[in-house]
Amino acid sequence: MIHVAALTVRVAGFTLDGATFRVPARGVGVVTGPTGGGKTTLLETIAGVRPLGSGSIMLHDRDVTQMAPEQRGVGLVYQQAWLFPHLTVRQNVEYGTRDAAVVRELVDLLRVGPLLQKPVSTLSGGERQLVALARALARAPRTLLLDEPFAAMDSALRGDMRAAVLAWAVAHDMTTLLVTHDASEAALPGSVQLRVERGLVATVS
Amino acid sequence: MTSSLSRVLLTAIATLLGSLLLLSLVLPTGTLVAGAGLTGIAGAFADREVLQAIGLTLLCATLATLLAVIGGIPVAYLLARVPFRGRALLEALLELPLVIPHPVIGMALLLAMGRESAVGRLLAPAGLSIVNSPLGIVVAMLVVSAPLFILGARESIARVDARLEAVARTLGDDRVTAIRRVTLPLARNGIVNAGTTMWARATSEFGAIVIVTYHPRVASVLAYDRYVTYGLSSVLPVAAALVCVALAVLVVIRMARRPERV
Repeated sequence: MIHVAALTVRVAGFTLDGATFRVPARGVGVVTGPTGGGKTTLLETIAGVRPLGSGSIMLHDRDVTQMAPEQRGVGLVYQQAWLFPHLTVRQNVEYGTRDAAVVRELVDLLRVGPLLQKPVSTLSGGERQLVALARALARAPRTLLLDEPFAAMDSALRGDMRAAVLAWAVAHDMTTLLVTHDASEAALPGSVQLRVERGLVATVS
Repeated sequence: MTSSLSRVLLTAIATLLGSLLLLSLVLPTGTLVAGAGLTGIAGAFADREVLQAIGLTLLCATLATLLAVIGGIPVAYLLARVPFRGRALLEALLELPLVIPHPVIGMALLLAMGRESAVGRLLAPAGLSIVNSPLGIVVAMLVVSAPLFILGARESIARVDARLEAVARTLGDDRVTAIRRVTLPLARNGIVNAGTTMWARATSEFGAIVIVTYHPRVASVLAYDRYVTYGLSSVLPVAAALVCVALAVLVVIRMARRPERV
């Protein structure tokens, strides 16, 4: 469960103001809104990598507001993937885990097996996103924060991977917050719909 | 036609200016080595006083650089990543030794850390003093050249996107571990470059050292001493020997660099 209450974040002339919403355990919150509206800031603040001004963040009944990112049990995937360029794909996927079985499962699920020995610099945008997803899921976070993680994939792969990742998340007891500009993702059945615009967060449904 | 002509002209001017600059950089040291000749350089390497001076110079410069790396990386990280009040002032203070004449820095060191100072009195019971000692050489080298390391390291750390560190934190690393596993490996080449620049600057230091520690003599002080005592021709082999050693070390460091990763 993700429960954000009266969250205020100030970033260089921009303010995310009083965000309040709740996503149930194993549910999906879909975040939409125009570019520059505060969607990434919201995810980074929940992950703990950006300091908040005020408010509180509860993840799975734990108040994580003052916790360091590594203590929050979150996985964060950026649109740009941000793979570690000095490591191979395999080293990226294994970065946060020693569970070889989980790594193998995720490598199969996300079809990154042929990429494992490659340097990151040779990957396409879509491949980078798949590796970033595998890396985040391998850590087995309870909260998955996804910032347009399928945007660089072609439409067929995007649909497959979205279904695979969300099914994995539910099966492994994860709650997901997904930022998207994709209309088909925005209309995910059963999801909590959040609209972020000019720093204001509104729960649509 | 006009644009291609101006492009050719610009290329020619840039090539000429670049060549003149390179020549002005290489000509003095080249003339110095040529003036000493192979026999002179071989003689310098057989001169015990020269060898001791070069050894002391390299050792002190290396120690000063190691101290700057150990203490400077946290400062460089702070300046690159953490916004805080007074950062501009701290950066200005760090740059100050680069704009103050180095003999003046030597005098300031004598005032701040000489035998009559509070620091000097603290060092004395341990048998330490910055005056006429290797410690003084290391301190002088550190003060005049550590800013080059810190500012260079700051730039290379700032070039590593902070989101890489953020992702590492969500994958279980605390801040120090994320810096060790992600930021420093990616900033490695820049940090090595900054360390090399600092080491090279420390090796060549004269102005501050000659005030603080005339004896034992580093290579620059020995060269100066021989110049004022015996004239230009007698200093050539000493200076050429130092140039050869420094060039060899710099080439080895540059060759050991790893390719940049994107």
